[in-house]
Amino acid sequence: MRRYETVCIVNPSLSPEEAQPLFDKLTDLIAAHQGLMVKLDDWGHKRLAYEIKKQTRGYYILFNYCGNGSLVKELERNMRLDDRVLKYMTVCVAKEVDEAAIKTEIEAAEEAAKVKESSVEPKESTAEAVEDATASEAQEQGPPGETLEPTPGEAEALDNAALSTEKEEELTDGKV
Amino acid sequence: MARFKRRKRMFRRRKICRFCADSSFVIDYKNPRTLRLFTTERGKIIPRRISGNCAKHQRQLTTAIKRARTIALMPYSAALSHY
Repeated sequence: MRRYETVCIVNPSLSPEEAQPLFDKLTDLIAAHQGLMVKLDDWGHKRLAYEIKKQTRGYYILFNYCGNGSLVKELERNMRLDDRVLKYMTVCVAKEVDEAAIKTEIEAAEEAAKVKESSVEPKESTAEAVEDATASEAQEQGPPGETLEPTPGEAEALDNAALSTEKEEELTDGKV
Repeated sequence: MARFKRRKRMFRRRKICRFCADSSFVIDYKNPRTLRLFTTERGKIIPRRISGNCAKHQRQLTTAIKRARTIALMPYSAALSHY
């Protein structure tokens, strides 16, 4: 067994109800091919760095699972045939996995999910939670790529400036 | 001539590999924010001689950036915005 990560970009125009059957189908496929689903990570809507099938945004989802090569082949075949999937990529994370360790990891992930759910429910009734929710909504409304961009962009600009001066130094050294 | 001598004696900050210096700074294709520090604004990968990374980490960084490009987290080539 090997451990894989598959990132899948789904058409952003799909509603959650429409997209859910697709995710269910893929997770069922993993179970059907003697695979072990470790974690399903939902990244949500993101801006794409370049257009894929005329789309500028995409819904990202990450499957973290264990299985054999045949499972990956089948999974990729299904994604390739599906129109809702814009693009996908599978990366092999580990060539050998310890099944017992994976099982405990799955349990831990499930428990963490439960704790998250239970902690969210009581919070919703309090006034503080409402404030939190509005704050997070406000953040979500703006496209995440654009709102998050300035800080790394600035850092990059600074970095580039520093790098270019270094480069110049090197060039002059070369002439000497 | 004097200018050359001054240049030779000039102190230059020694470049260090950021990933070796800070173990919490992890290379991961899923985190384009860190990777973006090692690309130009055009989206090109900054060479090792300029960024100062060690060979091992530069190799990891290159694969990570290429993976991020594959799933559209980073651009293959970006248009310059201020032109």
